[in-house]
Amino acid sequence: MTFAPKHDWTLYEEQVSPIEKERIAAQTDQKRFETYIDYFDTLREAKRGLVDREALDSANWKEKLAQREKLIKIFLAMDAF
Amino acid sequence: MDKTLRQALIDAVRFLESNGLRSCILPLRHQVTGVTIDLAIGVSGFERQIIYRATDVKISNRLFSVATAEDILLMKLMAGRSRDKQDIEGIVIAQGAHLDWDYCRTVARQLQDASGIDLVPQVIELQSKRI
Repeated sequence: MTFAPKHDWTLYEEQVSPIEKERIAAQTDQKRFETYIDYFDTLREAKRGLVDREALDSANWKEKLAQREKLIKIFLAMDAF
Repeated sequence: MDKTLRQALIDAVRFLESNGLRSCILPLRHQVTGVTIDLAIGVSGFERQIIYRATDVKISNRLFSVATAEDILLMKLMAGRSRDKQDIEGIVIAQGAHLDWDYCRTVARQLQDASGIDLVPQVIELQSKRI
């Protein structure tokens, strides 16, 4: 979709960013946890309705394993230094 | 933690380690809620350090051992996916004033030497952006 017109969000970011940063910084651990649970439930419900859910899970799992292997190699190299 | 669950996890970790699967992640699913979690086995010095440095956070009247914001930030820097970058931004916004930037730079240097990924400049840039 590189041909699609893109909206310039600069003004919006300038106006909203400080307020958003302040809101995030002021949150308690409990509030962050509740927000995370809310996002988690929303995503879980959305995934339940997917036709190709197994393929998505499989792709996610492969990505996760590849990521883990990459990190382990770095950590073990770090130990060897 | 429930004793049965604890023993099951210990057995699972022993099985993975004895079969040379030290880098594996063990996917777990809670049967009642369907919630999944991934159990990653920390075998390297860096991961043991993360566990040692973890702090207890009280949520809903329960204590959870959570990796420090600095260690999570460094792990996410190495992962480097777009969603990790978003998470890093959130960590810096939420914890920026309290982050131990000296620790971040020191460990980033060690990780950079081991991985070849330019982590130190990224840490310095994040520090300069903090609120």
